[in-house]
Amino acid sequence: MKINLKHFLWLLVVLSVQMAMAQGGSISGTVTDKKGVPIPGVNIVLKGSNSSTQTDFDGNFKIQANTGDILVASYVSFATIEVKASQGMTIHMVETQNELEAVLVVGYGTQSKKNLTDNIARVTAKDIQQIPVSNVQNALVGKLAGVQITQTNGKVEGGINIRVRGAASISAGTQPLYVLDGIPLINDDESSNGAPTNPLLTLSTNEIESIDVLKDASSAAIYGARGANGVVLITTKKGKEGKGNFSLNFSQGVSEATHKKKWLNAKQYVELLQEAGRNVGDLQSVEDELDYLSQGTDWRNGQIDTDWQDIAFRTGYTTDADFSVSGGDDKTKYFFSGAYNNTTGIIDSNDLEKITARSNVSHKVSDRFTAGMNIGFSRALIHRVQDDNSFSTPLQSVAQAPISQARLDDGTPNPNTEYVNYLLAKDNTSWKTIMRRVTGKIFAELKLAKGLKFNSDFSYDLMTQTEDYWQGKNAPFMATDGAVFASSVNTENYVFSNYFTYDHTFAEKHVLNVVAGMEFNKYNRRYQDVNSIYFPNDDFHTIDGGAEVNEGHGNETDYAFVSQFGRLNYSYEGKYLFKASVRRDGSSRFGKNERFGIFPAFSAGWVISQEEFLKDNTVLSYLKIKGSWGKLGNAEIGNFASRQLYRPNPYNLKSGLTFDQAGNNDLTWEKSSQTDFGFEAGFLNKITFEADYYQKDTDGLLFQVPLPLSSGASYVNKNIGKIRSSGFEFTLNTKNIETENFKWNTSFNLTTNESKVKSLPNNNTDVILDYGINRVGENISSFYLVEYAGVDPANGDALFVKNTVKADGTLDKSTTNDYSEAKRTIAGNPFPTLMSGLTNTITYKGFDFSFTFQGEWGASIYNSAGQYMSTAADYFDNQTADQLNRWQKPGDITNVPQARFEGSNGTQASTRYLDKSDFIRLRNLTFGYSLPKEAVTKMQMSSLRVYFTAVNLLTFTNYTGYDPEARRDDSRASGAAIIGEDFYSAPPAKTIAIGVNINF
Amino acid sequence: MKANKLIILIIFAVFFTSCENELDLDPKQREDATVTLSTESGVTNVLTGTYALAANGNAYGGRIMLYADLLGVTGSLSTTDLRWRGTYGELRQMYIKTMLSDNVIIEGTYSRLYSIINAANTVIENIDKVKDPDRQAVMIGEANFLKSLAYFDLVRFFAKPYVAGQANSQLGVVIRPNAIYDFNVDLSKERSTVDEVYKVIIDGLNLAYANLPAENSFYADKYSAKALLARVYLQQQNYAAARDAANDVIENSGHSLSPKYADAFNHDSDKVEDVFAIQITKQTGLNDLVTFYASEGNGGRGGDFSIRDAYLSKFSDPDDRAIFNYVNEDNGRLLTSKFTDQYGDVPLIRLAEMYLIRAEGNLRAGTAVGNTPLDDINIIRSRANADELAAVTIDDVLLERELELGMEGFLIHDIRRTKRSIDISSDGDGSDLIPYDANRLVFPIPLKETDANKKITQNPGYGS
Repeated sequence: MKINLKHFLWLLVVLSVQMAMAQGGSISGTVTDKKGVPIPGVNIVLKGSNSSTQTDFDGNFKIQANTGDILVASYVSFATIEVKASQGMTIHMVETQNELEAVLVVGYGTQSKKNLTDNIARVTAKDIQQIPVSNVQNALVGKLAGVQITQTNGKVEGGINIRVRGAASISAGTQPLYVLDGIPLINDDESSNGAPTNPLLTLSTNEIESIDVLKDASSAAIYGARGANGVVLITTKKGKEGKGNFSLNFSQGVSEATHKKKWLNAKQYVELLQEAGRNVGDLQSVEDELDYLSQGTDWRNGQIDTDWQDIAFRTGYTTDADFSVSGGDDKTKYFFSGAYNNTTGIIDSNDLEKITARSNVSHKVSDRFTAGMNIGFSRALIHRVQDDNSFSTPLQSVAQAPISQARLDDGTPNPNTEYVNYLLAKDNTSWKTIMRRVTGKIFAELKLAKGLKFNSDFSYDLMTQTEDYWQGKNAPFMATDGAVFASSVNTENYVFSNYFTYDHTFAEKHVLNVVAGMEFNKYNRRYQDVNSIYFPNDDFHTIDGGAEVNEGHGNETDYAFVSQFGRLNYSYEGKYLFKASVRRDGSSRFGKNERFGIFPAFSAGWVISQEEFLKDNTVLSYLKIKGSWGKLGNAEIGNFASRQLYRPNPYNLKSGLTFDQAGNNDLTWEKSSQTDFGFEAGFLNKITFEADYYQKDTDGLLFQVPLPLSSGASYVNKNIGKIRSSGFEFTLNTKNIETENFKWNTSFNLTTNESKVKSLPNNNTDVILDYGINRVGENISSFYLVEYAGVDPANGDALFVKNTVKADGTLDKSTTNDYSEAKRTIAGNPFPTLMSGLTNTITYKGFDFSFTFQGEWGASIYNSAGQYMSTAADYFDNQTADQLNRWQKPGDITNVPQARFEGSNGTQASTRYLDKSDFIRLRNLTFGYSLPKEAVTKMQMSSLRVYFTAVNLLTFTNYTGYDPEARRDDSRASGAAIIGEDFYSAPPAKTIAIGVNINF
Repeated sequence: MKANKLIILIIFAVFFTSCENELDLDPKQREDATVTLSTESGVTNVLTGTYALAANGNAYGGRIMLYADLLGVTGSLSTTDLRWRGTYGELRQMYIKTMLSDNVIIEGTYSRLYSIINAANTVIENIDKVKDPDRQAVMIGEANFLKSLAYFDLVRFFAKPYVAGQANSQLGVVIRPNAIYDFNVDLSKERSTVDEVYKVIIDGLNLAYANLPAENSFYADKYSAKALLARVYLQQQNYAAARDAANDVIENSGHSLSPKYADAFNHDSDKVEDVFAIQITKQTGLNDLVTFYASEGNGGRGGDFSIRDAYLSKFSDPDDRAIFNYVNEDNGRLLTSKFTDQYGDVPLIRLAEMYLIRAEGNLRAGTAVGNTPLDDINIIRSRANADELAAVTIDDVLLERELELGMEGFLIHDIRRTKRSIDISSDGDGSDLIPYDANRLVFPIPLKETDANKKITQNPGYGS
């Protein structure tokens, strides 16, 4: 197979070269837009012949034709026109607003939406700019059908999960491949404090022209073994020929948590705890501790009433400033931009400051040769707090007793709290992370012959992250007079791609586009850290200040991919569309026997509206049906996941080795095959409607198959199991009103998704991880919990449904107060099954108004901190206010059991702490006003706009936790749990900002 | 023109093929198991690595000792010797004797002990890579010692207690007689009986004793094995055998009691009283006794497990051991001075324990092997500057164990072998007793084990 494929690709290459050899010519002219700006790349065809050409970078063309012949000029985003040929002619083309003419980026090329048989979702600059969020991904929420974007929680640097058409994997990576201008971006979370950071923080929306998400196999197969989770293609802005443009934007905003919880105040806290103590006959233990927690203040009369939540949250601020310069002439195009963002988070001590800059330049050296360079650099400085599972993270302070002072009278943090006072960490520690990134490519394009060009790109992505964790003398648990941890990681990725593109139209009817090429990608990551202790005083925050360097680590890892790819697009009379692509990937990550994979895809479409019987239909202006099938891989299985390994593990400064990983020689990528059917319809040139059904089957799932711990290992990586994600996607775009002064557009999308487990390792044995289960026939990572059955009105005992299997095979639904008698059961889905987004854009004269609603339905969140915060005073943690509804006397009907100090009355893991997280959210809203032209021209500007914008302004939900988008971020929450678990997790920020854009 | 095209095609073709060699990459800080286990240095390092596993916080870095005292104290404010105020819910479950099968701390220890067992088995089975037969013997001895140590704590915590004078056919723990190399097969296995597990432990220690030298640096030596054997026999209430093993250690090991009680604790290298200690350095190992018993200033969490008057009242006056403690200024808690060096070694077996075992063995058997019980007890007491006893009873010996070995991981095991109950009633009136063999004093088999091991049986009283 290996040999055959090579032959095939060679054949493509040779064929392409062959086809480029025939020639002739006599009419020359220029193609421009209505402003007179030349358009390069326009296809010119002599009607009724197979003679055709393309305009060069100056819009000039030369074609074999005679005066008076009819020439057909076509170009994406412009209306196709027919004109009579004459020497030195100028063809004026008119830009179309038609969405179908939009050009999509498809990887190693572009394609017009009209001829597309793929499923690609796209946003462009105007959809995402000026939204006051600190990362690009957050600006996309609700705008892409089939793409779920969730920030882990409300920390400014928080990790992002993007799921394209549901989860395609359970244990391997589920994040899409990000490709910026052809460069696969490093997307490693390099945080060492447990909570993930978002490595793509380094991108800025102001440099982005468009984002195209390749969702189906037909589009993503060109990325082969890395395409199964979808591919996000980010294209940066380029200069356009014409007058230079200088654009400025500045905005300033404030933010708050979307939602806060209600907690007991000091009086309620004391009342509930005393009751809990009395109920177990141990009031003394309770009051003893209340004495301690109050440290001599009068807790019986509420002398101290601390609202810890209020201290942990604060008002956040955002400042955004960016500029760009762009322009060019017939030879050189340039784009420069810079952006500054300063975000003060809503969580105490958490903020972000970043700068981003970019320069994209291209130059036409000769008619045949163009070269250029894109380079961007950025720096993000983040002050971080500990992960959600750390006692000293701000939000865990909600567990502190309200009768404890936060700070003593002298202003120092109170050291005698139930849990370590996070203010000790705030005053005496700092966690500074700096991400630096340089991403660039040099590229060259050489026209070899008519329609045939060769592209060569060399790209480099460097991500450097340093972390400095300082702990002073008075930091919590400090016994060494201070400690400093400093880490540094350099990750680089270089990619060399070479490919041929051949475009040709035969006999006006047969349009052919062929791409064939190769790519080599090598990645290297080098990490070091060092720790020092015993500091003279708190003024020293670097390693050198410590008397003893007591710990250090260093490691390095690599991977490489070698790939060949080819793609063929063919359309006949714009009616029948066909596409085939193939990629062969080899990777160092795969076992020697499974090193190479081939990923083919095919798709076809029929533009019915081009047929005679529909051509002149004015109501149904466009109709296309399409289908695709293809294979993709998911190579995110770790760099050496197949090997049985030992790791260094020294003892008393003597070297040692310890078993590290159970090996499996057959380990390889996850194989996913995807089928897609859909249609696109346009009505009256005002309404477009797209519907798709997709089915994604992933086979050979990578599983950390749990082993009996008694084997000495806890898991082995295996390719076993199947899942199927399927659903529908609908997109509706309407132009409700379109007049000179008043425009109103609506865009609505809706996605359903069901991701089911189809088969599992060890004869479909359930795979259970923490509160989640993967069981055949059920949703991926379903919640698996004992079912809570409320409270026995007679005695206040918590009750659980037994759910034991009876002799007849049915489940025993009777209840018990003995937790150990109850069996776990499938209790919910961590993923939404329905997602929707609705965006309206209205412009009236100088005013513009847009808003996006986003909704998710069908998911649940498990609050694993419930066993501490909602227990009717099982311990000294402050309780959520709803615990006041506890059972008190026989006959009380309530869901909160009797308060029993250390009584474990219903505090065990159960559906008591599981809640549906359906929500609708006003994701963002923008209102702008552009000053009239005359006014701004006087100020020597070309436009001036002031705007008001807001993110997460309104949230409609019955969810009782902080926020349906707040999930735990610590690394313990691995596997199933991470998806739908809340553990003192910060809600996202609600931000409102005002700003101004100026163009010169 | 044509030449250009040709050049591009050639470059293209060269890249097609040459890059594929770049796919052969090896991990840089890991080693393939086949490489490790094929050389003498590899196998030797695996043995050292087994000690490193033992030096983890959740094994012999301290938690295994902590559990025994958490389970053993009453946990009732007015009577408890030690009060738990730590924030780890999983450890509090032990203090209030209400463990859950998803307790991740218990799971961590269970998993760690089996890692030690598999590593030890791996060393034993690959010993042929070591050329020197003497070196082979020492390594076999050490591996068996570590393996028995791990099984002993597994069977003490995860199974119903051993009861002398009857068949102990109650479920013990899973025995893995061989090292496991292939994890792609079904590794499910039922637990063996308590009797079977004790047989593995005793056989391993006898083998270790036979193979180990009398002196072996900070690694386990002959007398480490014998001392552990004394402890195992004591747990089986095989008092005569316990006495003889302890006597062997006292007479022949060359260890002696440190002159002062305080000298027995907080040092960076083995001292005269240490029969076997887990080595902790700033670089390797974690002393979790310090974590849970020490003030912040001493590297702990402020004293999660602090001393109460009930414990102090057990001492007669004077007694150095009654004042071997300090008040944490930050929170007023009274904390033991036994564990105040964050990077100090963890004393796993002190010679003092051997005196106490010999005394109890002699007393119960009515013998005076090595020395009289009274003398042995008084040796321990006079070292702590406590008044000597005039006569000694079994209760005196058991009390002396609490005074001498408190917070060193003996309490629950002594309660179980002497069939005492724990009085958890709020005023200590005996109205709420947990008997020594109660379900709730036995750790649950971790849920992860029962989920993945289809043949295993959970302990009574625990659900899934």
